[in-house]
Amino acid sequence: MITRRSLLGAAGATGVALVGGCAREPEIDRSLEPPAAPGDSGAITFQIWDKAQEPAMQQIIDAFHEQYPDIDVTMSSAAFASYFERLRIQATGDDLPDVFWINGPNFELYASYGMLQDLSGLEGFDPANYPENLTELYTYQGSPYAIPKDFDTIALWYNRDLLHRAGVDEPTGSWSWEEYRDASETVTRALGGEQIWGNPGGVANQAYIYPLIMQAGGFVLDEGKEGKAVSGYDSPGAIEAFSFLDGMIRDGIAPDVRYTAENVPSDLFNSGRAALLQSGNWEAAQLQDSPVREHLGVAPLIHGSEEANVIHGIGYAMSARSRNKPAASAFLAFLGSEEAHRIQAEAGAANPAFVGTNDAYIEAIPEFSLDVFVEAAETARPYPASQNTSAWLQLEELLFPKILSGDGELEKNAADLAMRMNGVLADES
Amino acid sequence: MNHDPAPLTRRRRRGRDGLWPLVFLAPLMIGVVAFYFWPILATVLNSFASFDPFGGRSFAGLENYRTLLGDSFIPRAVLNTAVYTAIVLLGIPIALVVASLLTQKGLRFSRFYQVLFFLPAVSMPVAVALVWRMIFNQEFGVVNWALSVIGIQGPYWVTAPWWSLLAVSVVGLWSSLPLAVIILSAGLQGVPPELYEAAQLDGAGALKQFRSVTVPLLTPSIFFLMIITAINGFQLFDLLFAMMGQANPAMADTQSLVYLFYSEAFRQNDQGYASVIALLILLIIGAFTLLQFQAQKRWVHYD
Repeated sequence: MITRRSLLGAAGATGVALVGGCAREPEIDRSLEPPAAPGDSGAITFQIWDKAQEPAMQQIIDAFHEQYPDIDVTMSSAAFASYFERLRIQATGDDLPDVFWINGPNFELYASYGMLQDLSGLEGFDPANYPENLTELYTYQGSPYAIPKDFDTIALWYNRDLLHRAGVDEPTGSWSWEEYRDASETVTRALGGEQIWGNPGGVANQAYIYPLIMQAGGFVLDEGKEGKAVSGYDSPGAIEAFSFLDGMIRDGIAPDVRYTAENVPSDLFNSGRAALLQSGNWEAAQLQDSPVREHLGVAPLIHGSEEANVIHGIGYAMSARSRNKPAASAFLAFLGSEEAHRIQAEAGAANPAFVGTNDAYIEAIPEFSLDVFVEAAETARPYPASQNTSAWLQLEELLFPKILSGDGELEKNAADLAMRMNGVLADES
Repeated sequence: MNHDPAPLTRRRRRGRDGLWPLVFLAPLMIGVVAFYFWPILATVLNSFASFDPFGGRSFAGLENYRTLLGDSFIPRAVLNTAVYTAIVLLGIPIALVVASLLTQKGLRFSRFYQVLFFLPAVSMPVAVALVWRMIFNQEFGVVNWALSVIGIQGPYWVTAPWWSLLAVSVVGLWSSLPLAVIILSAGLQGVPPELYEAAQLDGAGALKQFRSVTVPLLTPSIFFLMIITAINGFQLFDLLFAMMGQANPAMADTQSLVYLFYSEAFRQNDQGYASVIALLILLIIGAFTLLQFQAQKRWVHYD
């Protein structure tokens, strides 16, 4: 019989269960079991965010199936815009896919909260096979937690035709900041009447602002006192880089940020309205179809008082709570193999991370000399990331344009960004 | 035998009804409690908590409230939200004029005009925002083209501070018109024609009739619209988000309160502080609505 007391008791118990359910389970099996043997059966899930890379990933799964015919891999892809929102919900609900893509800004968050499998003992995975600055990105407290999939570095894309019309020689090696500014100025002055810019400006972080800050001897993120990271946006190098960009906007050489908010820099370059574009190899896929593609070339990145490039790449990770670790290990090891990297390279899907397989990618898009990007990887610096990177990325999104808005308060706005970012960094555990 | 029969009857009736009234209320009450009361209560509780990105929670005392007091984005966001709401409220007098024109006797194509004025209500907000973004484009937009015809160089509507808030507010006003026009048209049709006849006999012209007959009789509808429009105004988010886009130098100075809430909850992974912002929005809307209810005694006619 239901009495008030039993009802209350039941409600209380539910409450306790709810609270208990919210608390983190202390014990999960962190050990990495040996990978499945070719004859073993199993079923795993695999999640990615790029629809365009789905065919290449499917080819890799098919190749995996030839070795492991009884392991079923179910691939799903979610749009990048909501991918990490979704991944966070999956992690909260203990429902992560067995194997999934991760990126630099989100890696440490998942690794530090014990969501990712430590891959130190994974058979068939040797970090030495990938560029060191890339494996560093996916190392947490000395152990690898993801396998590099591909990488992007930055270089200077240029439009030969526009440079020639303005009387500028195309870059053969790395330009200095001054040469870059002068070339931009010459083109803008010569062709500005046709609404053509020397460089299309913008506030891209990885492709434009990070490398410039590092080239000026500054930093984005550095180890501070007590192990907390600190922001470098108020460092002299950062101010120098911001002032360099601000100066070109002030002098009318590059479009101002109000303009580039409505006219995306890569679109300007893509449609032949800008002669230079500092960006990554990811542009190759778009530029292949550009109306001005026959005029395009790539030169090494510009340099300041230092040379500095930034490398970033996607990683393959395994859930620490995967229920089928042997099968997931086998698949992950295969994803990291030379064979898998060659498949994605030949498909032109992405620039592979496995050292020595890049030729296949360069040949897949022969229009451009993409080897510039591969050479840059050797000396590039790791992409700056901390535990809650997405939080300060949003601050960059909000305040980079304001810093370059020409409101006369560049240093104050940069200090504001640094202060807010330090607030985020101080909250990291 | 000196007991009072009345309480007995009452007691017996309650006993006979048993739990049935509660059972019948339950479907509604469960919904209200689960989807309104509980979230508000949870927000209050969460405002005292610190969150990790994967849902873990710990008690943080007044930490989030201290953050609120020290956050320099907040005053500007309050101001932006208030300016937006004020501009959108200007839509009510405009809607009043439009509604009285639409309900004029003998107006040709009145249905067609009604459809035109209702169109914004059935268009998708994000699509609307993207179209307006093009209309306001500095280089190719229709607005600046029109201004250039009369010799004015138009501003960067969407990417310069203040102009951006004005542009978003104008679109917000435009989107709020349909509801206001519909409600006021309905109100106008409820005005007894003999009042106009009486006013005419007393020698009132069209304008005088509008001021002394139409407007006073519509005050309940106007009041209702003011409440609804103000609440919607304080919740500005999607229009702002879609119209401003990425890498916008005006964004830092054009954030609304709900935009800040979104940033904190979904970008900064700080649900505790986001809860405090949500409570602030609730408080502002509550206070403003209360104020309006106090003020209405002076100007709303219910007879």
